[in-house]
Amino acid sequence: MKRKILFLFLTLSATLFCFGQHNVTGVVKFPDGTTAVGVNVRIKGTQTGVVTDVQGKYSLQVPDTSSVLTFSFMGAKTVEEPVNGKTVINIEMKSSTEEMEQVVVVGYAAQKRNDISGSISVVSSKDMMRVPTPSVEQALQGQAAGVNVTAATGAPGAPIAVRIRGVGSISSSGNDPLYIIDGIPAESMRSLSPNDIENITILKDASSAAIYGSRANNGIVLITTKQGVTGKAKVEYNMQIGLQTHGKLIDLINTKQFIELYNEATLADNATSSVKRPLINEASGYLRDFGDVNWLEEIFRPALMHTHEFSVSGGTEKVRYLVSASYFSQDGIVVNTNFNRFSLRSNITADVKKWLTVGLNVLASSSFEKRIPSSGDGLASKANGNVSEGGSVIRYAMFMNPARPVFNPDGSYADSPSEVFGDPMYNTFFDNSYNPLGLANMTDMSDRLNSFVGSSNILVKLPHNITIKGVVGIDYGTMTTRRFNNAWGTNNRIGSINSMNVGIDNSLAITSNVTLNHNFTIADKHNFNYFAGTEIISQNWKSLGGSDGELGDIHYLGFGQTEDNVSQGESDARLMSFFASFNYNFDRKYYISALIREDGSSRFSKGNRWGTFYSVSASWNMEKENFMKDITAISKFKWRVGWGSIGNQNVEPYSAMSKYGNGRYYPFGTIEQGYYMTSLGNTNLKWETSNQLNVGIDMEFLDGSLGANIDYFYKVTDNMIVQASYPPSAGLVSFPYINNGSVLNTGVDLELFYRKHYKKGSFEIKLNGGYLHNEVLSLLAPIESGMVDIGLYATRCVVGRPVGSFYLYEFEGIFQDNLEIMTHATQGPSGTIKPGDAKYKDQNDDNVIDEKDRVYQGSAIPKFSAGLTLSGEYAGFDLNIFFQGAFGQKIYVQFFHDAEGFYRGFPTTVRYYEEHWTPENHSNTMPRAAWSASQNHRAGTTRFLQDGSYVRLKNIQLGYTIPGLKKAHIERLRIYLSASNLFTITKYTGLDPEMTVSANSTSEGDRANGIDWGTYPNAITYSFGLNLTF
Amino acid sequence: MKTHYTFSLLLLLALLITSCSKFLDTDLKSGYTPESFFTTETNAVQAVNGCYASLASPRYWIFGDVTSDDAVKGGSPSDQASIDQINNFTVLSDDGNIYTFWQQMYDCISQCNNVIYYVDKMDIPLKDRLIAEARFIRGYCYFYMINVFGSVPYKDKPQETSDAIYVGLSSVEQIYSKIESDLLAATEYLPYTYSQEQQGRVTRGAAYALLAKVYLFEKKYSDCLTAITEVETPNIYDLEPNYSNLFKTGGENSIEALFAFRYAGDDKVHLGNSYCVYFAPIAQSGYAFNAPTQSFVDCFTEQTVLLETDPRLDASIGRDGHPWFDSLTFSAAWSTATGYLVKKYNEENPAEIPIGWMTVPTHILRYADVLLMKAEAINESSGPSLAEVEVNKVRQRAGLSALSGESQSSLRDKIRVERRRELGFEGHRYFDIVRYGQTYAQAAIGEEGYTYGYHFPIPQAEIDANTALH
Repeated sequence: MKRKILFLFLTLSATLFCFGQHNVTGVVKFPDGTTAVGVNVRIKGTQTGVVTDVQGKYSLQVPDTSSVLTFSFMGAKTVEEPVNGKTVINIEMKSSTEEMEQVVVVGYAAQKRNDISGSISVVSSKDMMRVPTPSVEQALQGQAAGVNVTAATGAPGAPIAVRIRGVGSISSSGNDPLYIIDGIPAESMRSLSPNDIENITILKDASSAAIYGSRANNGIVLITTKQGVTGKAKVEYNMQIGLQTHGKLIDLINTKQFIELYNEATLADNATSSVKRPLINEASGYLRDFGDVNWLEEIFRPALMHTHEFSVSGGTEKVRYLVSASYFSQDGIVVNTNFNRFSLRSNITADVKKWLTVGLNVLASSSFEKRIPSSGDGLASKANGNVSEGGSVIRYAMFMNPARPVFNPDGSYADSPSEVFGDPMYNTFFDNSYNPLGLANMTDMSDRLNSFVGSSNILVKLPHNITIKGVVGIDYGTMTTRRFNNAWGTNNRIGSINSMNVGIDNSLAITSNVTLNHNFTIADKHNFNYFAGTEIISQNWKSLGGSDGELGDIHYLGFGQTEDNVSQGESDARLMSFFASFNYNFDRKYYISALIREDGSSRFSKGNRWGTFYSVSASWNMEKENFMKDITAISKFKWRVGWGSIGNQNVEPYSAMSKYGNGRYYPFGTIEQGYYMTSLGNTNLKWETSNQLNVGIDMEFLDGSLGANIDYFYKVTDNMIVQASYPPSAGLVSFPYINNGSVLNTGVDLELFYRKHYKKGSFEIKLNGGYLHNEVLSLLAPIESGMVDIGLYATRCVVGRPVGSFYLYEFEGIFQDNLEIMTHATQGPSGTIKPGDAKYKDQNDDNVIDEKDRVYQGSAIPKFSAGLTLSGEYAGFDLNIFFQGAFGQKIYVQFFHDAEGFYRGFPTTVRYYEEHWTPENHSNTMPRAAWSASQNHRAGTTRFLQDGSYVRLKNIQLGYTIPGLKKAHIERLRIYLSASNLFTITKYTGLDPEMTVSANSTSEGDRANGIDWGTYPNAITYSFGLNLTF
Repeated sequence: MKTHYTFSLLLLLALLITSCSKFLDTDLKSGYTPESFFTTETNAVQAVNGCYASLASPRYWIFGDVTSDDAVKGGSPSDQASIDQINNFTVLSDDGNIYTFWQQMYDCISQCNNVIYYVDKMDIPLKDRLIAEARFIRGYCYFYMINVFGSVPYKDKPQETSDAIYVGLSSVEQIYSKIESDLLAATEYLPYTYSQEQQGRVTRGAAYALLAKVYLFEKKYSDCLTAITEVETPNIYDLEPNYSNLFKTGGENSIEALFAFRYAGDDKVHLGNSYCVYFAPIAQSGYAFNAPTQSFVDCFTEQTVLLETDPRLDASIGRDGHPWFDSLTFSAAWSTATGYLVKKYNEENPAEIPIGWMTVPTHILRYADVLLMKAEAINESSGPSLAEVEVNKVRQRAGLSALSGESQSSLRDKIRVERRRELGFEGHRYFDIVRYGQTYAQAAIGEEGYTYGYHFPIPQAEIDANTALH
């Protein structure tokens, strides 16, 4: 944009001035009928011009009747209108999005959309603001084909997974796209308010992304923030206030039903077990006047969210500015959770000389997130080096017996049933698991991220259409993670003594790049462009952590009685790059382009540092051919093909080196420090590369009102950077990263739109969808991930299957009688299986059920994902309806494992209660109630695997722009009502199908997605908002 | 156009100058590589300390006690339910406890291998002793591994290369000879005693005692007796007069203790014994695991000369109506599995510290064990008469009458019972049962899944990922 504006000014200043006499007047309006104030009306080729007044009127003397008028306005399509002797010329400015799509930022420079051969998607601010969201990533959800966006959980501030064209790698950190904000790479999106964004360009294939070389494997998300424009100052205020509630909860049984099941299981077990449990009935004396608590309801609450955004923008001919402030606050629908963000932004651009433009973009932000452990229980941390979050509050809520009280009479959280009811028998009856409300409220866990992102840029325009652009950027962030665990419960059994951990992580990235760009045309039709550049990125991370215990009222390190210890770390990574591209087109009809980038990364050992990445592409604007000229219905028909090789260096610094660390204390006569080999290095580690082919067609019909973009892609990632899966005999050392295996992602992306404008309104339908086939092509050995609560790894990466395929026993129904048990393959130790027990399939017909009978059952990667937007405007009203869906993914429901396996003293679902097998009710879906059978019933089987497909009404919004406020100096006032996640169509019976990775498996990344440990569900939000412009 | 080319050239030149490759050299700042770590004696000592920490794993009870006739899993029936499958020998190769135990043991072996390899390249006064400590620990681990799993991969190099990572199975006999050479080498360089602050490190006495045990398992009785002579020569070990004092904090420094896992706490770190949590009653925030069986209780029928119950019974386990700690009386209801709980890893707790901080030691080798090994070796190699003397030392402390005039066979039975009573819940019973032979083992274990010669399955993850096993 900046460049274009600059170009415009230069052109204007360089032309001659003529005299003439002819008066033209008129009114300029926007498509919605409102008058356009501050539109620049100029005589083409001169500096003569006026600006429309508050009624949108203008009056201008033109030199002669053959003059041409240009009407330009920020964000709107510039209109040229020949005077042709007319004295009144009324103009309607075309909507801004169409203009935005004309020039898009791709890589280090902007290009005309029509000149691009690669596969890109552009999401404008208008598209994003339809759905009010706290994060940039969520704003992308459902907006672009082939871009799958899923929140890890529905908790406020929870991380969000963005996958562009599938899961390219099986490494834990290797699938997030690279985010570039105004030309510099960003460490985190958390600081940025979606409201500050002008548009987002997503580079999906190699031919567009190769310019980012070693970091482009997973696609690029280029974010351009809003800039001021020349003209009258514009003051905007947007606010929204919303109420959030939980969706449908799982129906759990009540106390009466639990006692019924308990007695049923007791009778079943007492018949065979040496341990005899008492029944809970009048006769036994154990029956009490128990309560009836719905534990899920206890932890959920209605919660508020609100957001306020304020911005001022404008500019003179030479200086343009924007300053904005925004505040976002969201309480979670589960107690003790919230997120808020306060951010300030300023973008300034100045044309200091005819040949020189400088700019400065700064963002300062502070965000705070209060969390509860919600999506795991630290189980897998033992085996995979994950950081344990502790027990999942939501999972524990599903564990809790309805008869257990929430509070003790003294107001503290009730804990062991034996304490509450006065007999140890109640511990086994009700189980002594942790009170989830206590767990949520007695753990104080928060993150604060303070960040500063700034970049200054300089654009030098030399003769012969040569420009040099330099950008220097800083991305600095301080993340303070704090966790305080109260000691509570019976005899302070939970936490023993209180303890606190604090970690402060600083990250600093300095980026600088210089690019030279040259455009020239030979013989009017041969258009050339080439550019070359270099980039240096230097990153530094510092961490400081400490812990303390037995603290009093002051919860700061050093105020406790025990365990104060500190740790500190620092690491560096650097990247140095050279790149160049060449583009040629003939008459904007035939295009070819080539890109090359050379990257050197400090993350690899000396011999493996440098990598070369490249792409070639071609396109053909067929509609410009003579044979198409007569087919007026087709306004655009562009063929595109591209191929390239790009990389991924997403591996921790120093991965080449083995490391020795401490922390294994041992008490001899005195306690001594112990060191051990903590991680193994790999000096042979090198880039992960992916070779990608993209073939696409862009079509527009009926003068652009109907359009379709179709892309086919075939992408093979080789030499994936994966943590080695050495045998367990390699010990507890952290295994090195190695280059191992390859993964295929292939599929089709489709974007369709139809839009129609009427005098008083318009409507638009936009549909995007992606089909994806993901398959591991090669791997040294299968990689197991996603440990569930029986010590079984539920997923596997194996050749011929998608990444993280569920690998489970197949549930075949219920054994109905002894004959069936005898004729079926041996399942478990002899004599342990009884009628009513779950039955598993003997896949290999060896007449025994063992680990060889596990089979692959799909994965958590959606096969299709889609977004549908319906929007319309009429007489000041606007309506937007946005659906989003994902199809074909599976979810393993750990908590049905707990609740439908009849395991500890846990309650179960109403579904289990009603359907389970009894000698009278020969169910074939739910096994009998018996703890002695839980080993069999809890096996990792397809009984707990569900189809996670869903279609969700992501947002529906009705707005009204109040007319006639001009006199009150209000340019625009729109109010709206909005509802998010209003309903979901799904077969999934857990809380929310929109979930990705549990906290248990964060170090395993996409390999362990789709295991639901009681994930924090997304809220249903009802909100009211207003947009005000002065 | 000319200016443009000149400019491009200048720019290119500038770029090349900045491309100084040093920019991409980043040093490891807050950490050691093995090369930078093994440079001082202090560091080398700390690397050995890491081996001790790794060795003191809290999972031995599963294989030593639960699998035997002394104990069942205990605890809440479904808590760690898969240990029941270990107990009844039906466990599958993808079991989590099998995996974790295997990994833990090899972690310890691996740390020892690193010490042995890297310290050997150093030139420091303590070099030989440090390597000897690591060789003892490695020997201990392999001895345990072959008794649980049979043939296993024998790894003895840092696992930094693929040939050190992917190692096939070695036979039990091959590994025994490696263990012997590790322990023999250890005996050469280890001291008999350490200074106060260094107490708890492996001594020469411990190395000979473990060697004796290894020989006993191999039925090399005369080698066993030679090694025991070396344990006894310096005359520094004796029985602790009061049996129950061994199982209190400080028991690790007893005259009877040859080697024990030690626990301690200060205001900085708390290194408590996990057994103190695992085996404690649920009401005391324990898990009530490793519940003693009636069969264990029943082997205490023999009364003392004063016609009292063998004091070792109530020192070892909690029984209904008998005193527990902190003035509490044990109730059978505390242990839903059997009505009994292990008492050896619990103690008076007047300060009410969290039980996870309790520092009761886990004895690995103690003199009573050595005396009973000696008695067994003598009885098996040269008959009962001289063997009785050694058993009687142990019996005498317990207040039992002295044995005399036993036949080889009857003394064999008596020694076996004595070991069971003396060493209950110290991780010995299962391995003793198995080495006593098929008849004894099948009678004692009595589990349907058990056949003599059984070894626990090697973890599936090892089979899948260790290409040398394919």
